[in-house]
Amino acid sequence: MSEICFSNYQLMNKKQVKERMSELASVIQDAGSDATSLLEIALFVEEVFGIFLSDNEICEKNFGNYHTTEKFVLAKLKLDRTCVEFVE
Amino acid sequence: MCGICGIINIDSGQPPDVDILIHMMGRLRHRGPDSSGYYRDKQVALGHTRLAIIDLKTGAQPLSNEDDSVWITFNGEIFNYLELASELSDLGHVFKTKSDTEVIVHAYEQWGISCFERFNGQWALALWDSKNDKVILSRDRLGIRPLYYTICQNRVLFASEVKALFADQNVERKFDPIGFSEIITFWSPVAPRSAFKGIEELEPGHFAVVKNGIIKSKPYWTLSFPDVDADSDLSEKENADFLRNHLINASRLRFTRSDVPVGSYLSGGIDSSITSSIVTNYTEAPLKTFSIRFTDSEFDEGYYQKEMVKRLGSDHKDVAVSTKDIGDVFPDVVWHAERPILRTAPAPLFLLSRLVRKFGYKVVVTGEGADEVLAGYDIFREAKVRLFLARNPKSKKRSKIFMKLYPWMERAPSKAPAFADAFFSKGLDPLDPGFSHRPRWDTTSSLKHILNPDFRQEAEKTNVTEELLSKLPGNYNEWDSLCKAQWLEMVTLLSGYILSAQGDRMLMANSVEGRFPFLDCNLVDFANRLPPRHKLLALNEKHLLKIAFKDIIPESILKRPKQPYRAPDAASFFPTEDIDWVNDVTSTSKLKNAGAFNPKAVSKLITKCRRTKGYKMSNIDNMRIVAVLSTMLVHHHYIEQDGNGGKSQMPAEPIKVIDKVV
Repeated sequence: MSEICFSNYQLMNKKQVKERMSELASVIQDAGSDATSLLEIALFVEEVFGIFLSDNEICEKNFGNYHTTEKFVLAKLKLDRTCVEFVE
Repeated sequence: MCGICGIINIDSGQPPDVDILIHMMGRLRHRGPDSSGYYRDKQVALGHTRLAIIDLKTGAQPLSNEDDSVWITFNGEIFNYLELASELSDLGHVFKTKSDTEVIVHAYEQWGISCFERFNGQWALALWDSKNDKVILSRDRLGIRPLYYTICQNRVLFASEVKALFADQNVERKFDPIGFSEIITFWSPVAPRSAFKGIEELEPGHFAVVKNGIIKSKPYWTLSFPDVDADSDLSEKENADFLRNHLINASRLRFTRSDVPVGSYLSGGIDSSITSSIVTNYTEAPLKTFSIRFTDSEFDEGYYQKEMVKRLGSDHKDVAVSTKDIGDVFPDVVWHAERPILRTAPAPLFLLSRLVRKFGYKVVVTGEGADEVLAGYDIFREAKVRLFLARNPKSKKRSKIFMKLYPWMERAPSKAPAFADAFFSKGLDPLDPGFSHRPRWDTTSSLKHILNPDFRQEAEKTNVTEELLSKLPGNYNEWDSLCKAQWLEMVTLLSGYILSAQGDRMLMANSVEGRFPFLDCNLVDFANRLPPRHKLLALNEKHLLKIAFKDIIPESILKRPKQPYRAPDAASFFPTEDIDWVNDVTSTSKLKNAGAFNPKAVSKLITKCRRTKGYKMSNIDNMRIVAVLSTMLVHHHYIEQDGNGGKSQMPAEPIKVIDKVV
């Protein structure tokens, strides 16, 4: 199995991060609240932010709502400091 | 919308045979019942059957330029013809008519073959440039209008439909096993290949120059997407606004550029609800809507249609389709489709266009193309969740996301998770360029198991999936996975099946022109440049379209889960009382004569169908039986018989004749 290469999403600028965060809100709303909702949010996070998630990370604690997801994503992107003024 | 045909002599001995040309035109009468015409000189004959829509008085064809050196036969519409006519008039061209056809002739004189890049429309045409001794064939970007050709006895014959080529008894009528293999893999032959040996279809977005007996085909447009790391500068809101403007413009052009009333299909889904709403919100035109209902509630979308009709206030008509109706019209449907098909879905559309015509309409706008251009199909969602699993195949959690797929299916993954897990987890190599479509292709091509071994051997001489994947655009690997899937879908299923067997043929069978705002060239170019997540946001299909039109579409329709258009398959052919034509075409002698299928395997399949009356069949068995019946009907219509469908028709009068030989 070949490894999938993500683009270098860490190079996203603040505007792009903000834009994707607003899209994240739509995803959370659309995903509903069934057993597969967390997976759909995880799929979006991997796809759009270029983050690889372990099984342990795909959990209610990280993806239970918009705020936990935002916090988790920013932490993974290591952009907390630079983006906090935009997203809050 | 019309039918076109022609004969091009390769050696200039005898002039083209006018009797053959008239027979070809007769085979296309359903495409043009209003009038007809032909042009003939020593080298070329151009035939035309007309469905009069623009310039009813003076738009008869073939027609020419000022000095009669360029002649045209044209099927379709150039929606920006008024703007082009104005530009060409300013450049000194003199128009004799008010038709879009004449604009093409002058545009060709002015800009040569680069004129096609300027056309916003749907077309198949032939231009005879007598000064330069060449014929130009051309087809619209996405293959909305059909155009076939063959070389036979030192002549090139071309026509809108294969049945017109077969009007010349010298043209060989034989299945192409490789074309057949494409059908039972991609659902359709991939142009230039057709279902018949020696018959080619001009590829979408191409023109061909026919000179000295040589046919050279070239693209004037290619389907393309940006590299994966290219990002739009525009926000989701800005892109939604642009999409809205593009679609409003595309719909208005298609509703208003006509000299006859234009109706609208209304399926109950988002796409046709939006195009219909644009009429009521942005044009002065009265709205007439047409829908298919199904007597079987599994397929019926009547609830949503009624809701939209109430919202639109349209004058609405529908046709209720039963399994019996499908069984009754299927032989006619296949005659018009002129290829094997794997689903009965074209049959209700045949009945719908009949309804349209019955109420005096000959043009309808439909939502076709939205699913391909704006990522509405389940196959795009499927590819995304498979890619999600491919990132960590050992994950214990990820495969559960398969339960999100195909919720409308009787055997949905949520009801059979173990099966879904095994099925969708196969072939998880994300570097496979056919990654998105591999499960579908593998499933469909299992139809090969019921082929006659000799025919199968012929069909497998070319690996059609590898052949397709060897012709990918040079920068395909740089595209996002969704764009790759869209390219595969549009190159195989859209032009070859959706717009053809299920589109043009079912509309034109009843002399109705379809217009497709979602396939407007400006909209398609715009949509292809969108960030993929604006089209398919996580698993929310056509996300941007929903945002763009949320103010004019009821929430119940915006939020309803995608329900693909489907029709009953095997159940249409095995009621309590046998259907005569089903028994006839599946007799052992006919099966042996056709040579495509293993009679024992077919017999087993039919026994199974009879036992269940065609209900509760698996997806693959449904496809198998429709494939067998449609293939045998194609064989009956086009190989055993000569393709005239039991009707010997003359082209419609009045006939415009320009004969320079007589």
